[in-house]
Amino acid sequence: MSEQTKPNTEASANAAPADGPLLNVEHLRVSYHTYAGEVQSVRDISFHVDRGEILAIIGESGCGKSVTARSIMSLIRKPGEIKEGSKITFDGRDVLSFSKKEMRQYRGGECGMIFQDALVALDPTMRVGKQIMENLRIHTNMSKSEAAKEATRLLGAVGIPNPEQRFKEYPFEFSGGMRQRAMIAMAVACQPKLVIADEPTTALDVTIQAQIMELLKRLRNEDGTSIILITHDFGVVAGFADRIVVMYAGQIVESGTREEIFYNPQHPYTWALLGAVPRLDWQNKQVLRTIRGTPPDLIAPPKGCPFANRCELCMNVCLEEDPAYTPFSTSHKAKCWLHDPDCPQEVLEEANQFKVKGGDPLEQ
Amino acid sequence: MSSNEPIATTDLRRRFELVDQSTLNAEQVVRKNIGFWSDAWRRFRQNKVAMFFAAILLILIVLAIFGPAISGKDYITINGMEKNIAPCSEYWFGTDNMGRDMFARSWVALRTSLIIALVSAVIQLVIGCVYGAIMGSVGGVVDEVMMRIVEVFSCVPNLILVTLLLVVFGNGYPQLLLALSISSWTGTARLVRGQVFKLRESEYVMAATALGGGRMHNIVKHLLPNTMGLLILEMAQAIPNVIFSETSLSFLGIGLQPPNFSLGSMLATGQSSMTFYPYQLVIPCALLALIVLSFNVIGDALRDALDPQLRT
Amino acid sequence: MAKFLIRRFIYMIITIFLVFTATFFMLAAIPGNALTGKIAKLPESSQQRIIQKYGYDKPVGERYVVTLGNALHGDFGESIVNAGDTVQSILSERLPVTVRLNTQQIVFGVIIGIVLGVIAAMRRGTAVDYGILIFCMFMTSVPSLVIALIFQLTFAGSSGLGLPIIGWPSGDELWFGGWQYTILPTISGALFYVAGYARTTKIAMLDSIYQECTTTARAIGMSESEVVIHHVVRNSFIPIITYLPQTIAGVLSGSLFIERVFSIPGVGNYYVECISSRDIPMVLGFTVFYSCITVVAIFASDVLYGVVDPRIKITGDKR
Repeated sequence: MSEQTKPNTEASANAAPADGPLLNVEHLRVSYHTYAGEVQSVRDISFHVDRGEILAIIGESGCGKSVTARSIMSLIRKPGEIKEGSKITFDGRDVLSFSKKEMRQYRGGECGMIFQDALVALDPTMRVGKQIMENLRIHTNMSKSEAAKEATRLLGAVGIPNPEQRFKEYPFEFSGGMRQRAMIAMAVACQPKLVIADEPTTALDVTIQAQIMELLKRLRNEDGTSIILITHDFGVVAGFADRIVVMYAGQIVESGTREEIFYNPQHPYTWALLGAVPRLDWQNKQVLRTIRGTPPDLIAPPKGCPFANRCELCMNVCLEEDPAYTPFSTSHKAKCWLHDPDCPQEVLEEANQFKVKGGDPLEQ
Repeated sequence: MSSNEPIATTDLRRRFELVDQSTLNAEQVVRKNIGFWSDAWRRFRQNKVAMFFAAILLILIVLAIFGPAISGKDYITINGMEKNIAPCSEYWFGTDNMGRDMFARSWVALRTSLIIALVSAVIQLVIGCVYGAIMGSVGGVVDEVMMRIVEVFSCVPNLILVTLLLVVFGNGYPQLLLALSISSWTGTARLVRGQVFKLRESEYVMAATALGGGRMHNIVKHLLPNTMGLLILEMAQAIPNVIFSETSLSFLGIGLQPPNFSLGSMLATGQSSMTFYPYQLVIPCALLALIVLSFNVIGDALRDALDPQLRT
Repeated sequence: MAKFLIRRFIYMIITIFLVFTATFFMLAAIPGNALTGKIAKLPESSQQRIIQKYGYDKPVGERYVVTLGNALHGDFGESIVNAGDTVQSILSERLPVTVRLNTQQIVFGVIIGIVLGVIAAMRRGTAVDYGILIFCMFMTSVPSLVIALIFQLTFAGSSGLGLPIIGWPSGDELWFGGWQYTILPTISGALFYVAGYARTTKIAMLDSIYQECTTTARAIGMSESEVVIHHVVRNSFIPIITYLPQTIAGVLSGSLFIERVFSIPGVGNYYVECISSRDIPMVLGFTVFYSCITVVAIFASDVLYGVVDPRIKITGDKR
């Protein structure tokens, strides 16, 4: 975006203040019906995204982050099912009851999505430029030549050199990083209010990762676009997200602002995840922590805390009952028995030795 | 919470006691672990249509073996007195234009067609596997030359190739078998070659080799299980194809020569007299359709059962 | 792309040459041919003369060189059985019949098949889908030969629609007209391919519908039908095209017995006669002719492949 700047009028229109959060997800439950039974991928999660905010959803593979992302776009297809009672509100309107026409405007127009692997997400037999044009043609009344011009401009804006040439090429002719940039150009073509980035950098190497994150951040700063970043890597989130939601086994175990999560994490799973990120201020001999075991099979979720059998502070109650959320501030809450008022002092003392001394690894 | 409730307090203490870490099983597996073959078998059994046709196929095979003995009639001797009798209690399928029992003849014809199909399918599979494995494992110039040969074979339309081979070899059982097999092994060869190549390049074989696995180990542990499913499907596809070709050839009079006969030659005789004695055509037609249908349905069910990509 | 095509073209020439060579030597290895039977009763001296006339007195190698030279000019020699017939004369006389029959079969089979396949894919899981599935299963299982015979049985005599069950239009109606003669042979030969294309199309459609890129297309607001038109159709073309040369080869083979059943004076019918009488020059000629058609069909599908799939067009690699 350094070469060309976007028209300012539209950017400010997008960021226009309105009441309430941009996106509100309440009691979202999603299941997949397989022959082995019903897999409860997402189990009653609620969160919101404010205007111009970057929200990171973090968790290991299979925890339901991608399913959540697709639910927001209403892209869950059979054998998946968004369960009764789930509610997704975008800009005050109920996404799950959109008409076909509203859905058309919403997908791509108001809410764009960036997929993990651009090589499979882009149509291999269609020129990259044409795929971006498609989006423009659906949501605006641009003519073909106008759309082509705009698509070329967008390719340039996301940092693809020689956009006129690249416009005519096919996805397999692009490098991984370039493909992801094209994917971003496609997602933001119609200046959506919200962009969902589903592991946008996982398939890329570290230097390219940083460039892509920089690009996304600039998108928010210049256009005021809200972003949901889905990732399994705290390293990617650091210095990028405004708020962080930690997901585990289809549930939100902790959520808070970046500072709260990094400097004052409250859930043992968050500690474990943070402990698995290498840090600059560590002594030589410090060892990266790993989390033993695997997440529970969501075909039969455990009745207690899902993290219990991997938790170093597992108590009897953890195996029996699912903990409730404990709020620490208006924005910060965690779901753990350690924060139950009944939790004895000796356990809390024990807990202190596992607690990670927080800190944003990029802001030291 | 409060100390004046001692029972609740001990209960609380128990509740919030740390659990012995060694008793926790973090790798707990809830889902039953299903192996590839048992899963395939489960899926195949669930396919009721396929099970139905498997039963029909079984009945047809039993009849092809014991059928002629059931009616107790001679299927070879020409009986001038009892020509072209319509199906009745004496002759269940009627008699043909030479007075021979159609019931016994049909099952013998079916037996012939089945034997030819099975033997030829096995032969072409064996040729294809060996050829493909050589192409795949040697590679280079040898592979290039052998591939050209495969292309030559697959560029001549199947039936043309078989007739040509029959002209060269002459008529008879072994010649027919050979011609049918030679004309259709190329598909299997390409398939096996592809599998070997894929395997040679795949990372898990590299890993196995890095761990000290020998050539034999790779073949037994990786190539066989990966290819077995595909080969079963090839086989299921080859059998109806061979039945097709054999029937067409015998119908055209280039396949089996009298006194040998198969469903195809029965069709040819049936056609010449169909205006007056339609049953002579209908019976072999029905048998032929039924047997191929059974093989096709079973083949399809196997494909569904064995193709892991279609698993949901 | 050009490089890819040139390579395929060279392979094509090599393949035809190899087919010719292999066929020639195989036929040369046959102990007896039509000639031996024909001249058996003639006196020794005449036998020698006739053998000389057809060139069978020369060693195999020399005959091969001569035949190859002639074949390059399109001359495969004269029929042993029917004096005066050459491959060229038979082709000019009978090829139009076979070409019309096969073209009608392919056009009918491909169009109806694709339509059924698209319907089945769009309505998957419904009664329509199962109906098409059962129809396809049945049609791939009943050999065209049997269908042809059953058609004849059904339409024979005064019953049915009064469609003729043997014969073929000739004269002015060689290419157009005389449709009633062509209906039964066309349908009986094409039903197998209707089923084949329906299944291939359906599988290809479903494969592309579940491709990740269709999710992307939905995520930019495309409706289901737009997704199908813009992304699914083009991607499903690739497997359909792969099936085309196979169809052409199959239809050619099929015309051997379809022409026989309906007494159609086409090339296939003649070829079967040549085979039965071991008419060596004609067998050689027609085998090479059939292979040429198949090879060209494969080449054509490679070209189409390149047009549809940019990955081949640019890298020239079928991967």
